[in-house]
Amino acid sequence: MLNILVIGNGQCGNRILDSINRYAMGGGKSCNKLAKFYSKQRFKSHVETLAFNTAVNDLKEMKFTKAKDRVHIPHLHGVGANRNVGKQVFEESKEQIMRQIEERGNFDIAFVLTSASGGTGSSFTPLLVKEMKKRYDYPIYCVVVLPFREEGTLYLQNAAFSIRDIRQSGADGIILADNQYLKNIGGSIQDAYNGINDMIAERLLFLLDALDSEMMMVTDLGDFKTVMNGGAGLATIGFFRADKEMPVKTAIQNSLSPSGLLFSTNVYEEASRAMIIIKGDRKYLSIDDISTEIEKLSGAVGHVFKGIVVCNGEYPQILSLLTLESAHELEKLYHVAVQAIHYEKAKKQRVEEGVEMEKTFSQIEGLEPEY
Amino acid sequence: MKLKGTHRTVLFAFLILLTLGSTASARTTVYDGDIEEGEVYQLNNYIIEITDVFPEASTASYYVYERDKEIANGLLDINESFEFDFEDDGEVQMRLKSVHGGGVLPRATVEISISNYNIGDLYVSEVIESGHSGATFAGDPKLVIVKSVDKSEIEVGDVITVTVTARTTGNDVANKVLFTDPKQEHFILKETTYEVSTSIPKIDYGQSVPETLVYIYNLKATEAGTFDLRAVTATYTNSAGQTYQSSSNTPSITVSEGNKQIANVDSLMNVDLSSVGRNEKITSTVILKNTGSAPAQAVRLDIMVPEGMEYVGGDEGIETIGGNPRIYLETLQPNNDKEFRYILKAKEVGTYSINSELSYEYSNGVDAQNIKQNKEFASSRINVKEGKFDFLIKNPLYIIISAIILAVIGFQVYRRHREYRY
Ligand SMILES: Nc1nc2c(ncn2[C@@H]2O[C@H](COP(=O)(O)OP(=O)(O)O)[C@@H](O)[C@H]2O)c(=O)[nH]1
Ligand SMILES: [Mg+2]
Repeated sequence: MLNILVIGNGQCGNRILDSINRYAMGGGKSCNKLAKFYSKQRFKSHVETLAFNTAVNDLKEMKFTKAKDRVHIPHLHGVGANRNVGKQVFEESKEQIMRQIEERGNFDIAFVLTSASGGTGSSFTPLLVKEMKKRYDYPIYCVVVLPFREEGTLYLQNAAFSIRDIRQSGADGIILADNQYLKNIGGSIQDAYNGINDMIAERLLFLLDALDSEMMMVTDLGDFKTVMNGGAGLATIGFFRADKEMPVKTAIQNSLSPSGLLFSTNVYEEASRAMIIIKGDRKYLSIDDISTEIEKLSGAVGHVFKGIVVCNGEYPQILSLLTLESAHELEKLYHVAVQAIHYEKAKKQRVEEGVEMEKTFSQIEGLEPEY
Repeated sequence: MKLKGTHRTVLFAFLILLTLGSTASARTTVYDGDIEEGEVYQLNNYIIEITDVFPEASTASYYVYERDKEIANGLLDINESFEFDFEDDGEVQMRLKSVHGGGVLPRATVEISISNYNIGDLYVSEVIESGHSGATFAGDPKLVIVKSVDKSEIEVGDVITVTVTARTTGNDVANKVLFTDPKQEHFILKETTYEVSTSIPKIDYGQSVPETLVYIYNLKATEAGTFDLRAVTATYTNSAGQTYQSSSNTPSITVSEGNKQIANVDSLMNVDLSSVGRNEKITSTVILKNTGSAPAQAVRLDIMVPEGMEYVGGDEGIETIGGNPRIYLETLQPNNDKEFRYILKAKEVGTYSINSELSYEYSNGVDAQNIKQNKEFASSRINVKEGKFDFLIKNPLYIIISAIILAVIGFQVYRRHREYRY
């Protein structure tokens, strides 16, 4: 049995974590609000969850995560979207944070969930990973949520810098999910968030579950590490759950299609290694079909690990984990972010020089009020 | 009014007399006196000039001009007269009564009379001693009124700016100018930026006189179609006090059916269970969503809890009016939704659906009045069955057992609550 630690930083991280805890109670998306009173999380592995936030309200909002797992790091005015403040708060509270982790014991693998663009999560995560890497030798993977592009220049800059920081922190890999890409889930912003969080939660749980299952073709933690080692340290996840009878071939293709992925990428061009986990009733799992489909992928991608989990009476479900050699979409985001940084800089300069206001005040130079 | 026969006859006769008197088919003398040689008599724009007086021959010669244009001339003996056509249908007659020598200049005594003409319209009737060249004539002012608009192709709800200017052309000033701008149908007057005072005492004529600004105002189109704006009219007088009238052009505006905004609020009510036991609770979720393009105001949803169900409680934002929950939102922006949850308890076995009445209003951006909407909704059916624990009532032993179970559950809930409370 694996020991797994899942940490959610900042509002976005907290929410996804809560979604994972809700899923784990059973009932999936539609899990009853009151389930926590009669049910409990059923992870296959030994899973510990931990939420860190400077905003106590974000922690209060969580419904399915135990109170002892929600850790408030107080800071007088929150951190806003200022990563510098966030980093400072982390340094000041480092011991408190690390003690929480220490108390949970030792692990085989850890995941850290965060948005790239906020204040708390995006600044805590790289520093936290760095600190954990110093103390522990288990692999740490970050699940990083990219902002809606229209959220503004500050968020874009934060995203650009925090992804760089996370890569430099010693994290063993970054799994990308992109709000912008997933936003067509629709409804209000809250619905969109919940929908995206559920998608991420479902995939992560499926992955955790699979890593700790008896699989027909070997895929274990070792393989997971190998896949994540490939490419440029960036990865994303595709997923498909059939809700009717369906050839496994189609299900695999669906999991690699835009509607299955968490991040916009052309799998056949940008992926460098992949792991495909297939779950379902024996009757759907035709080895021939699976092999031909996987060969197609490995022809374009490189090595593809595969794992098969037999579950009686279930329609096929596919999870594909892909590490990326290049990420065109991320390059685009950086391009926009660089413009955003220049823009913010110029604006700040103008304000410092007082240009704008000078202009305003100079209009009445030499004038007297008339009554 | 009822008149007796005799009275009617008297009145009729009186009216005839009145008519005769006023149309002046009767002749009226306007001058009876002397005119020296070289002097003229001016009647409005007409000039009668006595050019030569011959006392020895008892004659006098005359010329008649309309302004500068000669229209008649001749020689009169004493007691002879001549006539010429005057303004409208009028006729002027001058009779030579006598001639006199012996002064510095010889003079003629004449009688000038006019017929078929309203004497009140005579604005000049006098001897001008300095002669023809000393006469001044009243001209015809011509007031040109221009109504212009900044846009002529618009959409319903758009606003145009109308500017009205006036200038006098012709050959006289316009006095006492009074403008009237009729109310414009298919448009509403939004705002008047400028309006000239009730009457302008004088607008000079000539190229160098700047235009007079009369109105600037904004009209908002309320209907689609092609409309000619109404003409501005003005009444004014020339320097002789004669009344004139002008009207402006009538610009044409094409108004196309723009997009009227609407708010479209729907209520979606779901229940978490479609079948419950008696005394159990159902959580219902209401989503109010505005799929229109305008904000909805005063959005109110009255939820009619059916008999056999009981409202237990709900999100803040749900108030209860006479036991029925009500949701009220000051505004619901387009593309927004608000979710509310409340809990009902099933009291009686049966099949129910929860009806609700929604009302809201919005402004479509065109009409002045808000538009009110009412809708009704019904939830899916809820089936209330015999409660799980109803049998307990029939057998007291169960009560003890279930009390124990409840206590265990209660303890568990309490523990979990402690565990999750933050
Ligand atoms: N997918 C998802 N994104 C979120 C959620 N909450 C916030 N975000 C995104 O996260 C960014 C803001 O970061 P947030 O986590 O709120 O900041 P922090 O609390 O200061 O770390 C924005 O780009 C949001 O779009 C959420 O629940 N789900
Ligand atoms: Mg936030």
